[in-house]
Amino acid sequence: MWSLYDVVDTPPFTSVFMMTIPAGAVIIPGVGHEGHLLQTNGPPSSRSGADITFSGQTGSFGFEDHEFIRDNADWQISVSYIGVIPSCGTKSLDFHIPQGGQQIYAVCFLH
Amino acid sequence: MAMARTARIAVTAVICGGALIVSIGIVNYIRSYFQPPPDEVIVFATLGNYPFQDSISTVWPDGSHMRRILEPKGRRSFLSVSGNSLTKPMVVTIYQGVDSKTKENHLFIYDLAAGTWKRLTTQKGSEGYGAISPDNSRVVFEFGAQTEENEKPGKSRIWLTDLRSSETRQLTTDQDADTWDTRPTWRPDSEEVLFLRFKFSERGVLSKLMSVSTNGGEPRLLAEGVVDACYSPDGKRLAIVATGGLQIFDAEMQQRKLILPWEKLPNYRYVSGGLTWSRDLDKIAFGISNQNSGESELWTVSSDGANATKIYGTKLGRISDPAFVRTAN
Repeated sequence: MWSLYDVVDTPPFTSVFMMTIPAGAVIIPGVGHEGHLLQTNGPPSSRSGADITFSGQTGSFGFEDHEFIRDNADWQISVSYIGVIPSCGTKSLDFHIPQGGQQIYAVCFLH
Repeated sequence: MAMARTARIAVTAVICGGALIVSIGIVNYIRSYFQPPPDEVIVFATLGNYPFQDSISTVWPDGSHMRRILEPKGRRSFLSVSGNSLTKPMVVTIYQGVDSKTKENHLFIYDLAAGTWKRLTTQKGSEGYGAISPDNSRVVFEFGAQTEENEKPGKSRIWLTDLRSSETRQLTTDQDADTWDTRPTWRPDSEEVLFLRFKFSERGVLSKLMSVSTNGGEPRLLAEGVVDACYSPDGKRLAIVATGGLQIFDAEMQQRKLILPWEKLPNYRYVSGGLTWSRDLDKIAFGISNQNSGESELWTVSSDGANATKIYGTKLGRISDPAFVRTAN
């Protein structure tokens, strides 16, 4: 039985692991997620996009790319299974995207 | 004047040293060029850290001679590969940008020698990982069909395409609407398919290792709590990843033997990504993440748990879907 989920979002372009992947983590496809920009930290890189929100669902390989979001900023991502497991609720995570982008793993815990 | 002499000496030394290095390099290159490849190599995907940086590579079982055989280009990259031989068609999942916002996965039959590509299915829906049968006649794949009524693809099920007739049919059904099916893999006789069935529950995600005949029918439960599995070459045992580590599982006797506990690799994390069992070498290959170095590593281990060894590592992404394939027919 697994109670942890991985959601992998890959904004452009540099990869940094934000957190340790939990033991026994399983890449789950079809995970709904959304995010919004909290604040910018300075000028965007030359490769930054301009989007200040993103939403989607991870694909068959457990990720979805969001290529056009604003880098050099603080963001919040929310992972939700409300439609599937009402007791799960929503798990939110604040994270920072430096200039050039960042890859994160977000984990949803069931209550 | 003294400086010029120093500079000249330095240059001379570099040339002499450079010539020696160049000659050694040429000898090694010639030696590797004429070294015959082994009967089997490992083909694997590297899911990139960047969008559209996913690639397919091969490496020898000793970890040498890593070569990329499918490079990403533009907004097109390669998420998975399945095959039995480099000289026979392989199944590849391509990830591509349709427009500035939309990306799609599509399964292709790829002939490495001829360089030809052919779409596996044009049915509307969400395509995932595909696996070609050991006799190269059929492909099973993850597919969420899209219906006329609903634009959103349905839950992932296992579908089968017969490459000889081009007939495609759904192998696992929607009987249990709360589940979805993934990671199909073949039994060596090409008559049965393993797959994982996931289900959300109030307590977490449940995973079950199932098998289904290629003729269809009710899938059979083999084990619970498994996230990766593959058959042994003789079809009598399975290598599985479950709680605690890598295990050898006798489905008939319902007996498991833990051969590689994760507690022996405390700085590593396993993320589900496929297993493969060599036909010749008594080696099982898998990908695993090194938390200290940040590398994704490809490891092999004998079926008794001996000789667990990293053979290759990369920081360019996550290693996934390794497969032992023949280098000749």
